[in-house]
Amino acid sequence: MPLLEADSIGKSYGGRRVLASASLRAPAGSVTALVGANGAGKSTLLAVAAGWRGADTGIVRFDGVSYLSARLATLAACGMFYLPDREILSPGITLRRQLDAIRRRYGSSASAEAVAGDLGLSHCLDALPRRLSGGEMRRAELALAVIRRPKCLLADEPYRGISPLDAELITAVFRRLGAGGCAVVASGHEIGVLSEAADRVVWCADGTTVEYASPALAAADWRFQRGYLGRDPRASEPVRE
Amino acid sequence: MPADLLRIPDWTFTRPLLGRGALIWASARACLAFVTWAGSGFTGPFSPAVTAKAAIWTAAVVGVLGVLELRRRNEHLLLANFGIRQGTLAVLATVPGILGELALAMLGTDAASRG
Repeated sequence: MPLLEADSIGKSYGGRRVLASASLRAPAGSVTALVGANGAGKSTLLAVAAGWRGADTGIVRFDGVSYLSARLATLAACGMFYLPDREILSPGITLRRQLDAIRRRYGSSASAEAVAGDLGLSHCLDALPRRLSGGEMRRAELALAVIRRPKCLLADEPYRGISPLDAELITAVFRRLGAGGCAVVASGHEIGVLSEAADRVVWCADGTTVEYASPALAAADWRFQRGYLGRDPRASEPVRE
Repeated sequence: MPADLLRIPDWTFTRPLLGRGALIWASARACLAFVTWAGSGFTGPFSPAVTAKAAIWTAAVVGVLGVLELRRRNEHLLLANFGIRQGTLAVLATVPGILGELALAMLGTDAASRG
């Protein structure tokens, strides 16, 4: 049974149906890549699964408990951590103080220095988040999650607009969290790095989802190739419609 | 009552929230006093005294502005990740306004009793 399961999620915004019946499962100890075209509903599905947005239909199950209207604060108290596609660090408090506050709250044995060191952020510890670059900001947000030691981490577009080196550090953290028993879900378009990080793939398309047991299986599926990668497996030329 | 209803943010996050609320309250009160003074044609005394109803409204407006500022900074999302409910944040954002109004009311009562 997966640690997190968002089942048959339906969601509309102002009459526009974004999700019809989408599902997301995140087993403990795995890294899941959530991919899909722009506007396919990846961010909405993640936000619903995290309890940040309410769903019109469907149910969220987390750590053995079912929620008809899950709330992030409630799920977070049980071990959920949600990184949306916008900056969440408090802009006026140094990274060290934010990490220390979380360490105190959760009694984490890892120090702020050690966590920042693992993510290549030692030089940023005493800086205000507004002074960090895009890549540093994403890694600093991940540092919050690492020091929290979540059971489940949902990261929305963690690789967007960052350098390959930053992406490598983030992938290493996802793999390490997964190896430690955390259920990690990362969304995005960077199919290369996501495939490298993930054990499983969920493809979000047309308001619903298709689940693959591995990135290799996704890559071998002609519907995925045609519908997401824009390649026709029967032709050498990319599909143009 | 679920434990997460009683959960409040660490002091590291609460202090700036209360500090911003105090600043918003002071600014709102200064504006209110100025508008009242301007309403009297700048002839009466410049006084922070307002009715109890206006004081309650001021505290509520300070709370709303505090929550909006929190949302602008995305700190509500950060704190939700640590089990802090939005309702708790709204209450915390209102605290500076309530304390400020209580302090002013006590000072006013004290001044009236001495005068």
